[in-house]
Order: sequence, then structure tokens, then C-alpha cells
Amino acid sequence: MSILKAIDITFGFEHDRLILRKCSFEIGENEFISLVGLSGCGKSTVLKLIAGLYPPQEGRLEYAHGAQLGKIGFMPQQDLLMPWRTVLENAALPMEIQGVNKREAQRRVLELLPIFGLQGYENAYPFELSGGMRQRVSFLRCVLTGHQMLLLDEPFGSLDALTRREMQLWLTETWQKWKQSVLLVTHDLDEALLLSDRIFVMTSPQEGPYYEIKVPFPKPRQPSQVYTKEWLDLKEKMTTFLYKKREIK
Amino acid sequence: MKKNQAILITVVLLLLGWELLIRGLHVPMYILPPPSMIFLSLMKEWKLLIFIHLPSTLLEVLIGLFLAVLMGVVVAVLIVFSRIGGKVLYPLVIASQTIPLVALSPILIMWFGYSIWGKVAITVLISFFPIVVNVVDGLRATNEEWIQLMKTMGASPRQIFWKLQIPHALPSFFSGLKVAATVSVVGATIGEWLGASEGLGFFSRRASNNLQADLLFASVFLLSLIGIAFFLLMQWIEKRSIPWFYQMKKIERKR
Ligand SMILES: Nc1ncnc2c1ncn2[C@@H]1O[C@H](COP(=O)(O)OP(=O)(O)OP(=O)(O)O)[C@@H](O)[C@H]1O
Ligand SMILES: [Mg+2]
Repeated sequence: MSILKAIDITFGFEHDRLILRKCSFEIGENEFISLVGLSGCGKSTVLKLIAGLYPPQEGRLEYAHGAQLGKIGFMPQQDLLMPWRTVLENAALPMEIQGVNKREAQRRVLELLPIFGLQGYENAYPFELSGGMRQRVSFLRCVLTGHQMLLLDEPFGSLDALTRREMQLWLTETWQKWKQSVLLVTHDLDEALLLSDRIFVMTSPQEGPYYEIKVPFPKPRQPSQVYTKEWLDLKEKMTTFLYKKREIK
Repeated sequence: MKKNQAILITVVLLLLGWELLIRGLHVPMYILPPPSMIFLSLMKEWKLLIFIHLPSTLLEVLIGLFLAVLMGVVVAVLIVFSRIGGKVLYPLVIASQTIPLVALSPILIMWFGYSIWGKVAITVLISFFPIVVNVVDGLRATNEEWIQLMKTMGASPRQIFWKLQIPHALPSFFSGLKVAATVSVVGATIGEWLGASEGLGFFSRRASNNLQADLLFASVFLLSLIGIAFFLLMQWIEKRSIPWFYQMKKIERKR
């Protein structure tokens, strides 16, 4: 059962420089997909297309859960926390917009704060936090939209390598319980292999469907697997694909 | 504490220098009176100044500033959110600042007579401009990415306005308010120069016509005090309304 079907999508900000041309893909329910690609190839734009912020120029998007704005959790590349709101108020924003009562919204935030490593920071302002903590608040805010599908734009981008790995492992364990579908944008191939069922490798411009890797390893995966031959082979396959496409251009 | 001391010392030194210079060079009183003379005439006329002229100027400033804030915010919102507003209203607002106020005075007197409203009109005309400009800038500075994020949460334009654009524009609004509060005193004074029967502006004009420089300076001194007081009042309100902004600036300065 798929939660999203993209059919022959064409999109570009200027018509002589398309980002997608007749690109089709499908995301299944409870499926974890990573989207990798070189900087500037249009990964963030794809997320915004799916979120419903831009209408595709051609083709269509079919959602299992109806109209898209307000139905998909979106975590932007910059944390975009509001400096006039505390951690608690920032994380509660999507529920506030949905009309959830304030006490209930705060209860749900406080319940998840420890899991996100933010216990005791509910009354802190964003500018008092480190970059990594801000990103986790933004992540928490996205999860608290409560939607079936989450779009994550480099959620661990500004974390240090150790914290990043910790968050990745945490994500592999928890997201199964939530039964949400995830489309995650990343530059980090290990991250993609560690977390995903499938990986979409994106080129610039993207003509037709994505080059796709089905990750064969059973989940949850261990960080030590990063050094196995199968793992490295898959990584090499993706790297070669990314750079070969670039050379042809 | 340190800062206040520094200000006090500077002011005292300036006054002392002024006094000595005037006495040393034998500058005539009607050109520039020494501070001691100004203080003496302030003492002599204080009842009149404090109980008659100060309240009337203060009232003009208060009403004018209140109306300027109201109009300034409404006009700024129209400029930013209506398509015609940005094209038509903004140029008009800017044009309003080029009106030579002195030329306007006969008309204002015809409209409002010597009542308070003529003075209020000039106060509004002068002080709503910094508010409009700052609120427009503040509202326009909202990052598109932020608006997009709120849209993905299903926010209505109304929610985006109240939860994002308004709080985001507040620091800018307060910058405008502080400027407006200061120039509103200038506005009321000009208004009184053009036609009034009381007020510090009226008093200073009469003193000026009579070459009573000491009285003129005494009223100017009181006018500056009002200006400073209003500025500080607005700053106080600002600090209480957007404490996060001050904390943020403090932390960013340290980084
Ligand atoms: N709102 C916009 N208007 C016009 N052009 C845009 C807009 N947003 C993005 N672009 C352009 O589209 C292209 C893709 O941008 P996008 O942000 O999607 O890339 P990305 O793959 O997410 O890059 P990165 O990995 O650096 O985040 C870039 O060339 C960018 O300049
Ligand atoms: Mg991006």
C-alpha cells in the first residue's frame, strides 16, 4: 500500500533549467526512504513539491491521506525556530495550529523532550541552544505534527559525527513504533544505508525515475556494519553513479 | 551605574564650559545666556511652565503619538498586504513628509482653529512616518522559508499573520516607536509655533520674539526633557514586551 505516488512530475524554477523531468516514484506505508544527491541538485525542492508548497508543472501527486498542506510533517533544512518562542512553545506550534488544546499540546511535548535529549530545556529560547539542539527541537516539532508521512531535510546536518550517529541509531529504533513513512534528505551515504529501506539517488537534472538502491540488510542495523564489504560496495555504487553523471555533463 | 556616572560628569563639564566661555567672552545675554541664567529664569517661571505650558504640550504629544501609532500600523499593514497599498499608499506616505509644515499652518488654523487638534495633526504627520517605515520593513523581512513551514503545518494566512509576521515585526516596530516618540515632541512644538495660546512651543516663540533668550532656553530645556522621557518610556515598554529580543542580542554579541 503506497502513501504517496508521484507520476511523471516535471518541475523547475526556470524552464530552461529543470530539476525534475517526468520523474515517478512511490513511497510505501511505513517505509523509510532516503534521497541523496549532490548539493544543489534539488533535493529540498523535491520535499517542498511533496509537501504541496509548489505545484508540479506536469504530472501529479497522489496522496493516500488526501490534500497535502497540513497533512505531512515537514522538517526544513534550517531549523527555523521562532526566537520569541521557548522550546516548549516552538515544538507545540503545529498542534497549536491544528487547534489542539494548549495543556494537551504541552503535555505531549514534555513527554517527548527526554527522548530527544532536551529534558530540562523546555523553557529555554532557541538562541540559548547549540546548533544540534536546535535541530532536535525542529525535528521534535516535525514529529509532533502527528502525520503519517514525514519529510526530513538533512535532520542531522549540524550535529557532530558522534551525536549524529547516536541520533541515527535512536531513529532506527523509534520510528518503527510510530508507523510513519519517512523521506529523508541527506549527504551522508552511511546515514542513508543505516536507516533506509530504499535509497533514491538524484542527479541534476533528474530525467525519468530515480536510480534506486534497495538496501538488503535487515533492520535494525549496527554502526559496525559500515565497514563490511557489502556495505562499501553499495556505497561505491552510489558514489560512482553520482560522479559519472556529473562528468557527462 | 558606571554609564550614568559618565553621563552626569559629561553634562556637568559641558555646562561648566558653557558658563565659563560666556562669562569669559562677555557674550550678551540675548545671543546666548549662560546656564546659570537659564536655571534662574526656570526657577522664576516654573509655576507657569510646569502647570500651564508643560501639560498642554504633553497632552498634544500623547494624543498625537497614540494616533500616529494607530495610523502607522494600519497603513503599514495595508502597504504590505494589499496590492494597491504598496503601489499607491507608500509613495503617498513618503510624499507627506515633504509637505512644508509652515506652509500648512494657515490651512490647519482654518480647519481646527487654535484648538488642540491642529497641533495634534502636525504631531501625527511627523511621527507616523518612522512607524510606517519600520513596520513595513519588519513585516516584509519575514523569511519565505518560515511562511512555507507554517503552510505545511496547515496554517491559514491569518495564523501566519498573527503567529509569525506580527511577532517578527515587533523589534522593528519598537525601533520606529522610539524615533516617533522623540520627534513627536518636535511636532507638537512646531504646531504651537504656528498657532497656539499655550504650550512650551508657544512660550518659546513668545520668548524668542521678545529676545528673552534665557526663557527661550528654559522652555527648550523642558522640551528636551519630555523628549528624553518619552524615549525612555518607550524603551521600558519595549524591554517588557520583547524580552527575548534583548536576550538574543546579548548572547549574539558574546558569540
Ligand atoms: N525558491 C526558489 N526560487 C528559485 N530557484 C530556487 C528556489 N529554491 C531553490 N532554487 C534553485 O533550485 C536548485 C535546487 O535547490 P535545492 O535547495 O532544492 O537544492 P538541494 O539539493 O537541496 O541543495 P543542498 O544539498 O545544498 O541543500 C538550486 O539551483 C537553487 O538555486
Ligand atoms: Mg537542500
